[in-house]
Amino acid sequence: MTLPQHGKCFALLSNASDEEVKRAVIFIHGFNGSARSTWTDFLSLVDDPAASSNWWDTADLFFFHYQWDSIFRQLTNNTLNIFKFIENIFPTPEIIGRAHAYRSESFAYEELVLVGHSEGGLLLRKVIIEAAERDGAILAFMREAKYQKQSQPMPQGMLKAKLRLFAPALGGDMQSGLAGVIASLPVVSHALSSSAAKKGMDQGSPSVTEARRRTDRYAEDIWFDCFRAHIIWAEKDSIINSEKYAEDKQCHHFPPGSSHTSVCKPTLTYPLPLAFVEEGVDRYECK
Amino acid sequence: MSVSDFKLREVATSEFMNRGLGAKLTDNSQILIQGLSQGDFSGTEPSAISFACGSIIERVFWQAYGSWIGYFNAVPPVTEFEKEFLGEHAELLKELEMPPQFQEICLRLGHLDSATEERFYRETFPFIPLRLPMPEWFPAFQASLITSELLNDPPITTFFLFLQQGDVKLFNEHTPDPEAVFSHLQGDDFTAPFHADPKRPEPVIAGFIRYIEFLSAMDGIFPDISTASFAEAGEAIPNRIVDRDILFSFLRQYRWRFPVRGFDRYQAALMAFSRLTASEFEKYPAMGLQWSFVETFMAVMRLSRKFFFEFSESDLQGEEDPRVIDETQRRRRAINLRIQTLRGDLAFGASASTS
Repeated sequence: MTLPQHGKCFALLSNASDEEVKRAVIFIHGFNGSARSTWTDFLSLVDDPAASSNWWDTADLFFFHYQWDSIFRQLTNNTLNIFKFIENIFPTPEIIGRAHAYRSESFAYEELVLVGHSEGGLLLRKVIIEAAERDGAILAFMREAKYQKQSQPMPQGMLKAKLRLFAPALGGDMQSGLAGVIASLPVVSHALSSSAAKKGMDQGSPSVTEARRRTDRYAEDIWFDCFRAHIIWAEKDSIINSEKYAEDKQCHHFPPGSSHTSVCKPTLTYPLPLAFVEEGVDRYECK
Repeated sequence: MSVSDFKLREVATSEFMNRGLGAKLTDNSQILIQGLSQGDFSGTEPSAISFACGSIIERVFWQAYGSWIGYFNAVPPVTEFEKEFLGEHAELLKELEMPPQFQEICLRLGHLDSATEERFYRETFPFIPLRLPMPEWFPAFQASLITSELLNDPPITTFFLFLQQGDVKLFNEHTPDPEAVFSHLQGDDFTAPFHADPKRPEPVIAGFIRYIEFLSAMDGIFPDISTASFAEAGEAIPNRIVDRDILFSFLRQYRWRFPVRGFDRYQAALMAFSRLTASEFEKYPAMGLQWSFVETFMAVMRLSRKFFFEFSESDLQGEEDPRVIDETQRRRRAINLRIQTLRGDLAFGASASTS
């Protein structure tokens, strides 16, 4: 279904009843991606028992679209837009409109999974930082913990999220201008290689390094899943620097033949992205 | 999910007709019909008519396939207004070399009384008579629906218009300005593709970039899978693969956009895109980027061939690779067997294929 007031964003609602639906899974595409071209493979496989588990039967899927904004708007604008989008979904999905009554008034999700590809991964880290900064309990904990032992606060709202990131642009990237748009096309991405040594020298923008510093700071003190992303990198990636944050968990095997654009797209012969969203790096393929 | 479990059929139908792809196709045709009545398309009327008719007919195909598999409720194919428009221009579609299936459906929609009634689908479409709706086909159908919305964005429409009516000589005379290509990628702000300057290459290349995105997305839904391993193991091809083959063979209603005689223009756009790509990457010497033009060229050609070009049996006769021939024959046998099962010729569960 389309989502009123949210342009080309859309949702795939589970056919299960309110009592059975447990979770919202929210997908954020990358630079010059689109909700449709980046994630449709998930749509085509979530009901396939050979490719996915029944975990997906009890999940509502939401796809955020910001293709043009990903190119021209600043990270901060996009962060705040995604923040509002998630806030409108979790825990109560106001976004789908009460008039349609797809979900009852009292319905609320128990779990939230945030899935990002490339720049979408970086934006999700910034969204989580934004949510943490707005959380009074976390602020109080961080302040008091400097002086005396404190018990950990409980995660609230989107801080309950689990993060699943495909080739996230956490360590800087080359995505800018028309070259970035072209490089992000699958048929070009596959045919592109670059000097790893040269790429490794790119330290990323202040916005990139600041997201890392602040997330690492939260992860050091607070044991919320949302500060510890699970990550899969592509085998052949000329777009981003593969640098995780300190407490992140990463898949120890690159999916064979995967490129920056294909790593997040499950197919009949590459169902790993579905299992990764569900279980993170605990999948045996990652160990 | 069993069929009786699919409670959202009415929602799915309403979404398609009022907000999703169906609504977009309707809007496109209405804008064009209105423009035609106001004389807005001087010199390019045939293309405008072709796009207006194509949009309506494509929507009817989606409606038909959706209700065939049990995903949509049946709704009247066209309105009286659309029927009149199609009837008026049905003969022109032949001259415009629309796919024969489209010409035929246009004639029927334009002239049959049933065109505004649900019985039209039963009387017109040569569907496999399914014994039951096919919920296992819904995900791939939904994904195709959503992906096909991309084809209605302004930049990609500009590209297809170029394939219909562009002038290759003029197109090649201009060196594309990367900034202008970048600007034209902003589809939402570029709302009048039918009025774009046909002499400028930038909107066409922007559309070509979106076209590549569409191809890649569709390739994810209908990937190339070798079934040789099943044959070697003496196993039947799983139904989930065969079902996609069947759906893929039906879901071709978007192909009308690619004209039979558009290949020269297509090549011109592809080469312009390639030159632009090479020059853009040269701007980043520090990255040490190395791009294989041949690899990208082959990938784009393969995907275009798969999703847009129409090939007859005679086109495939030159194929000599025995592995390709084996694969094709194996897939066809599996499809036939599956269809027999779905028609009820074989008892359900008696098929050699497995889920």
